[in-house]
Amino acid sequence: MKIGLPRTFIYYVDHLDWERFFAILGHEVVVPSLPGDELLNLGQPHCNTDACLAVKHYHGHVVDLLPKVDALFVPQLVSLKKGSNCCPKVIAIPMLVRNAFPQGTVLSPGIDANHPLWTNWEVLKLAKRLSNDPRKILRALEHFRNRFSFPPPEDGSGHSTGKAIGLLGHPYSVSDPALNLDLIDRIRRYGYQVVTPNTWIDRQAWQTKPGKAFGCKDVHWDCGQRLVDTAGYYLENPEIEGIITVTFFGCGIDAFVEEIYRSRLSQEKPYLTLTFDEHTGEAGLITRLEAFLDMMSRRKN
Amino acid sequence: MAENSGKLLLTFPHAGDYYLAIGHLFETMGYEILVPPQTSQRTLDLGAKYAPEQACMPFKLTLGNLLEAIEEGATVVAMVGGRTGMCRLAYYSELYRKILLENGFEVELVPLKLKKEFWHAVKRHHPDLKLSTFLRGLVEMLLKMRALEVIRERYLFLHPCEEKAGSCKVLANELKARLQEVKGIRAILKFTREARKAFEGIPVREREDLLTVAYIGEFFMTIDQFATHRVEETLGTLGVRVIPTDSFSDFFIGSIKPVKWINALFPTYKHQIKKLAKPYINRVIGGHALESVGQSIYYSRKGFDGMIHVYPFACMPEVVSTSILPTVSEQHGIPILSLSFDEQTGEAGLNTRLEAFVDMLRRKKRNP
Repeated sequence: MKIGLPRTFIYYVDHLDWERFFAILGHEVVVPSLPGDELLNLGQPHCNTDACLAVKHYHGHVVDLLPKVDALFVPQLVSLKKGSNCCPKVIAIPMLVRNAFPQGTVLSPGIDANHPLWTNWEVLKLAKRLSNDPRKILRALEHFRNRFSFPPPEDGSGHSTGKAIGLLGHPYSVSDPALNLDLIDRIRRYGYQVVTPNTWIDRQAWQTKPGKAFGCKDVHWDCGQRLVDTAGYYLENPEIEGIITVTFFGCGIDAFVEEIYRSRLSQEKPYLTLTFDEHTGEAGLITRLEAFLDMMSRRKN
Repeated sequence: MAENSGKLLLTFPHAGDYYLAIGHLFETMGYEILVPPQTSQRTLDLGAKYAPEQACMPFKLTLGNLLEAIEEGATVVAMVGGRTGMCRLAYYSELYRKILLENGFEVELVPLKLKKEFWHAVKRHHPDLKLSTFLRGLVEMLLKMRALEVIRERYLFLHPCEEKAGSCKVLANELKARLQEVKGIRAILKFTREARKAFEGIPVREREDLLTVAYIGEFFMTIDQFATHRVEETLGTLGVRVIPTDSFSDFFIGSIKPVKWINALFPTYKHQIKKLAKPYINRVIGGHALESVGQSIYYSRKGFDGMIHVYPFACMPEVVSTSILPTVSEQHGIPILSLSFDEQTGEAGLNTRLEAFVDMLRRKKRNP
């Protein structure tokens, strides 16, 4: 069976290695073939205007994949960390996809760290639907259970060696060049290393709770608290010379989460917020980036 | 902790007319209260100035209420919104605290919820407070909320048909003013019965072109008239009977565990809404998204002419329901108008859309 895997938004949010899961069960994973910005254009007509960029992009991936696959994989990520929940739009993405594309087959097991037994049952049901071999089913379930932990297992994305700019943002904002106009590469071309939220920082933060530096209670969104903790790590780490928050217009979580760390962080280190949406132009981005980097080098001298 | 706790002057968001009930609760417990000034453009501007730019409108408005009250001397702030649900509401109190602290407003926060935390917070201020008084205060608050809801519901039901323009409004205002002074469980219940009766005395006329719509959407928007530019009144003047679908009293009562179990097991209103929404929204995602979808189907089955769906711009759960409502509208044959609100909403554009929608409803009714 060909299973379509949109490679944005919730694909980045989890570290569960679904490709391997489907490989164990003997299925082929298909990913979109078009470049990211074309996918964004494809997705927009299917979305509400005030949906965030990530949701629109996701719909574009679905449009591209639907004719090529037997089923789409759109898990329902309710919570990735016990005691928190995911962004409402993340939770609702299978509902949105089914609503926009009623003709497609959508596989959407529920993943909820607050209900691990139910989650295992949902994943088991999915595996049983995709294979008749009990050994494969159990191996697939085992693979999932090993990956579904908090903090997530280390994936080799380490910390920086040397001076760097720290980025703060959700994985799809920071790592998807289609959505942030190739931001990381641009910064690197100016001669800076780039650090993004990663599993190494997550594991440190799990122990030291650097987010407490900002004096607020934990937020109830797993992705949100991750940003606060990463911001705390950037604050105390002298190798992080400047910080850029990368967000999308309409991201409800970032609106609140940034407020937690922004004032303290911007008082202590050079700080910039970049808000992206469909209208973001390259020229504006370059101007702001260059001004920020100028400010950083002036500060050094 | 505020060091100027020599004087405890407590305030809370305006929340439509609900300040009457919330104020009563805190007065019963022994606080001196300060009702914030009527929500106005200044409130919104003030809130927008201190709130994050992309914060949702209820946050900006309620923050504005609190700031205006603090300007007038409030030292304690009571607020709903501590770890309730998945949307931003669960973080409101914490963010208020941070913003107020950082900007030099030294106030204490009291969490208003039906949990032990509330009792402990109030006891710190009033060590002599008896549990029976506290509980009585809560019950009276809920009863006053019900009284306000009856007044609003009757007003919206009757004012499209009133013979003398403004008669319903005058009565509603009179009743609300009287409610301020009513004390005691029996007296409030009596008042509510009399209020209902009083509306029966308003002369009404038959209207052939009368329409009925349900008022659905994000909770705060459905209870606060300023936030929605008085949409419910405009609809009334256009000959539309607006039926409110959510209430603050339900919000509180629904948060108690036993009530949650009852709603899960028995075919109550809430249970039915959830069931109707299931094919579209299969679980709670925060806010009122599930209710918005379920209620449109529920009320369409009751023969309503249409739905008015209101929500703050970029409200996360309502972005989801707004995407799904057009499908519901098509599949169930029910006209739904979705209206998003923020600081930039212009009344002219809003009224144009309302008039066009009402025209369409009328034409549909004449030629089914």
